[in-house]
Amino acid sequence: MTTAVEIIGVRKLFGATTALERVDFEVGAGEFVSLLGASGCGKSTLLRIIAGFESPSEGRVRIHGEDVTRLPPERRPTNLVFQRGALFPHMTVRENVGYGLKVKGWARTRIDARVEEMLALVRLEGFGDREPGQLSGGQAQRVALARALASEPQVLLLDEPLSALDLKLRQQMQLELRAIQKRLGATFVFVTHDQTEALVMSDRIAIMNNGRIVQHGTPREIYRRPNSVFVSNFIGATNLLRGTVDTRNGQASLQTGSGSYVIPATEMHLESGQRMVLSIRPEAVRLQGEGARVNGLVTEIIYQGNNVRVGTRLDPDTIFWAEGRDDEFDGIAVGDTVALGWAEDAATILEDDGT
Amino acid sequence: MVAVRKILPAAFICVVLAYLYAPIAVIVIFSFTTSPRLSMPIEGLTLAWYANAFANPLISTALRNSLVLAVISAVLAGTMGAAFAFWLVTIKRARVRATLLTASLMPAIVPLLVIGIALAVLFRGIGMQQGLLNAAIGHVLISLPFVVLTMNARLESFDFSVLEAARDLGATPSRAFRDITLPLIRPSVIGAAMLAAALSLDEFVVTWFNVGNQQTVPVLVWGLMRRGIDPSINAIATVLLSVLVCLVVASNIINRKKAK
Repeated sequence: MTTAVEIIGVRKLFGATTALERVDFEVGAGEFVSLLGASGCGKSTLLRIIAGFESPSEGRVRIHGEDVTRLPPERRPTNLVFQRGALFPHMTVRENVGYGLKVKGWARTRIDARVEEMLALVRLEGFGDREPGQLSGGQAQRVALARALASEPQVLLLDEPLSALDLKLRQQMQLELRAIQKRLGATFVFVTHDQTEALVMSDRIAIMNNGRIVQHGTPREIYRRPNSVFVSNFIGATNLLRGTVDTRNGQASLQTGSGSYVIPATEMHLESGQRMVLSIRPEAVRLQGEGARVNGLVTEIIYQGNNVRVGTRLDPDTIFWAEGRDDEFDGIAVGDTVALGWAEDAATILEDDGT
Repeated sequence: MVAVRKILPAAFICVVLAYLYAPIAVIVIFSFTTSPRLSMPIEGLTLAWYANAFANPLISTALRNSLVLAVISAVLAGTMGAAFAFWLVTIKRARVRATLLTASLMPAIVPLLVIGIALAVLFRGIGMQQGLLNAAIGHVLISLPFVVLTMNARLESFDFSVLEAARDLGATPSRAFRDITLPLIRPSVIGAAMLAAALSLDEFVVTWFNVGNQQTVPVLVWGLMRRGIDPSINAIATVLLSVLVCLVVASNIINRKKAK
């Protein structure tokens, strides 16, 4: 796979505040990569640096091998889909989609053909003469997508384009976007704060925090093997058991206020007395399960339709969540004491970074 | 008691409105009446005072001068104020922006008398003869803050991401300005320019100190009034009033359309 975007040692300062701390990252051609993080983590700044709207304080940006660090946005082979569409309100849908081609000096007939093709791609045939004000949120974002794709950018950048849409529409657009990306074989860099969105759409996710990429990998890698407490908390829900390592009797275990837990095999070097955290996904937790490990007092039962979430108190400070199908928790009531268990390798041992 | 409590506010509102509009109504009505004096009941209706007014060469010259000043104010204050407001909103630091905005609005609360005298002294100091040019400079000065204020209000809601979108799609900054910015802000600029024209048309104080022996409509009317009230003045005032109302209403409509 060739490299579409290379970010090399990019830092960005706004006055005294650091928006990005030395980011090194690559996006492969044809890849759908999400930059995921809470607001203020630097993900939008990084995207705008790739687009050319911000220039890095240090470092370089290369697109398909060409150094674009000093190029203005109009000379970069990238196009951006803005958060709120940024459609030109005084132009029709057709004029919006064709604008980039008109600027490039394409002939009228060729523009028209291309615009129709793009509108078909985003399933808005027949909307060409509408004004942006007459479009729904989802339609406006589709037009913005068509406009950005019309001039066949080498890399398409998307800045939370679905965040203003309601849930149903957002889910539908996620699948559509993904399908369009696959069909075109295009490189997409997608910024979002919504972890589900990133998991659903991406080939690869880069998780950002405080101006750094803290972990990147496939959605499965990120979800299954978070490399920090921050990531395990950010992606999905998780149970965190904090304690100190005990390696005395051959098998490493974590001593916590609520008991002692086996630490699964890890590449990390563990020493007795080290402060560590065990992360266990709620869906890995089973009632009575093989080798029940904790006893908890049921404090909450949350019915979610397809799933049920059960919160149990292990000790005064720790609520432990189990999640599973409705029938699995039949007959349990608030106030019951239940035994909970999980497969040893379903837990992940992480350094306690205080988050 | 209940009835009084309900009627009292309504009556008060009526009195205030009557107070606000009665003088205007009087001047409009008497511009159409046959009697040369302000007296009731009205004897008959006529357009003679209008014919009279426009037949007077002094009045038609004054009207022409006033229109020239209004057009100059509209064009210069409109473009300068629009450009100023546009660059103002692109300033990222909020405090700098607020300070510059306040600085540009301050002249609006300086008494016109002070501005008028200051300009007269200044022009004299640099050896500029009093005349229409001096008055024009004064008019642009006093309408500029109002143009900046209305433009700023419009531009605060301007979505600058559309300019970025244009750049992103390959437009150079000047192309983006021509294709996107200009068509989008044009209605606001025209609205603000009309406001500047309206302010210029009835400006008296600054004009009087700087226009020398030239006449504008307000200056002329003031001169005529000193020799007693001629019903032609009612006619001129009514014409001026209708032009101003048209300008302000048009300016509002244009601005409202933009806001949608």
